[in-house]
Amino acid sequence: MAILLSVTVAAGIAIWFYASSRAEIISVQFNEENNAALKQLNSVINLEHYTLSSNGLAKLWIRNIGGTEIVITRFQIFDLSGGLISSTDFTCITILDILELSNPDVDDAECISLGSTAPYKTTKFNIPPSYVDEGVVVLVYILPKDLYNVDLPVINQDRAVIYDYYLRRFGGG
Amino acid sequence: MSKGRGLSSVVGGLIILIVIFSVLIPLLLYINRSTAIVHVEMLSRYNKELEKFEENLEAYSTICMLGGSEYLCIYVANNGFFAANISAVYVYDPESGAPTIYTTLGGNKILLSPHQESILTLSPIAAGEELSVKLATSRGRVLTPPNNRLSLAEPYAPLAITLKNLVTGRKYEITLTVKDAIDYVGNTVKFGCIPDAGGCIETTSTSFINRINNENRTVIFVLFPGNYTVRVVEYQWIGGSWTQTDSQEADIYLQRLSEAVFSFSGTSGGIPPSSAFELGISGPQFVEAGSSFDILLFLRYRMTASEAARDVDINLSVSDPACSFIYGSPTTSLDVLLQGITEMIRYTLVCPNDGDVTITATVTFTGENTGNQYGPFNLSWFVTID
Repeated sequence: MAILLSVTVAAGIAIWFYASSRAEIISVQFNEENNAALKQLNSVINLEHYTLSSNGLAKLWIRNIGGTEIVITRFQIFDLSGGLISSTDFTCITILDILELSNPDVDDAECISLGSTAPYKTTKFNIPPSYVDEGVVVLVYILPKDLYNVDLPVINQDRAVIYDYYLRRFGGG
Repeated sequence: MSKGRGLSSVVGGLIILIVIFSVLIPLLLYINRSTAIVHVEMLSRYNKELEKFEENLEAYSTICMLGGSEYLCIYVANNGFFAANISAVYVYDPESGAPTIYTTLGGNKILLSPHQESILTLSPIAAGEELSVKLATSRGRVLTPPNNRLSLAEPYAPLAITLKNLVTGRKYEITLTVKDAIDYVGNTVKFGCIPDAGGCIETTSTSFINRINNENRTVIFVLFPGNYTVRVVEYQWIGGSWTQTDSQEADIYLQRLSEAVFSFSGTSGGIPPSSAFELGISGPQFVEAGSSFDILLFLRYRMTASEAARDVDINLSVSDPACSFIYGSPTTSLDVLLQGITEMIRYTLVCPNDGDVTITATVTFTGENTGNQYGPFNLSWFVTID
């Protein structure tokens, strides 16, 4: 009887330990996912102004109007029929604090890069000049700074919040 | 043995209950709470989106004057229920888009309480320069005022000033003045612009003399939006100079199109057409038989007549039927005889027989406004033929 009881108690304790540790893992994972979702929910930007010059240089004034610090990781540029024209990589990012406005006129954006030779990147990019008159669609990839993975920036794409804008050249300038 | 299994079952059941109450239920509660937090946060985000769409700013760009120079100014009003934070004002060349960005004015953030309006004084604007404006708010709205290519050469807001019931023979002087306003920083600016020679002037005036009784006249100024004062002064010619008889004033808040109406006494001083019409006749008193002579008929209609004369029928009869008209017809007519006009009609006649001849002019006409018939007005002239 004592042996059976001991086995039962031992098995019970083992089950309890297993269930506790499993529950903790589940709760931690759930917590991480929730936090990520909350931060993504608070990642909001507004394109306040842009210029697109005849030589194809696009400058974007983007403000972080969300509730968390964000990084702008990537611009993808499409023509009006949906064809990809170009895409910036993930090796260098622009960080915007809450309510901060990007400044495409100076290359002083904070850069986190894999290699020291990576160019600084602000909210500007080039497109082929042949597209400036009909315009392009730009996808802006952002994600909360806390979720940004410095070591593997490519996986950030999965967590990115994407905004799309139509850019077209002003007047005849 | 069965007692031992029973005890083990009880202990096992207790352990399962402990696992349920100490692990599973707390885990479920935790997950439930976390999900609730996400839902609350989503609701908060949704509320922010609602606030963004409820944000209701109204803006128009114009020119104002500060210290004698022209500046680009924006009138902005917060018509929404929430305070608005204008995070940036972009002033840019509409061709290149290159902006000057104002995130503060006078060192302060640009904040507007609900139902507050203000004037933002921005960059100086020079002749030949063209500027556009865009406002962005911290909630993420971007507002572009209408008529958004502003240049000193292209005012776009017509102000129509209508003067009603004008009195004949009186002078009307319209003076337009840009009013003062306090801008967001606290400067006193002339809010508005009367374009003149590539710049702005603070005041302008124009005048005219009305010739038709009860006339309505509209004078149009093409301006930039702003606050203006319109003053209309009526003068009457008395004793050799213009003397003020009436004055009216109105403040205009011009945005895109405004109209101001001023009404005057109109028929005051107008006299009935029957009294305003005068007939005159002139010619020689002695004429040699068989010689031609001229008769001049004058139709004088006084400026103060209450209405113009239409379908003026003129008949000139001669007592000697042997007389003939060389020039002119015994019956003629005028379409209209306006106030203040004197018409002269010439006739040339020849009378072959000696004796006294009576030439009689008869005029009738219709009142232009009332349709009343006036006349006949008769006047005779006597000529001796020998």
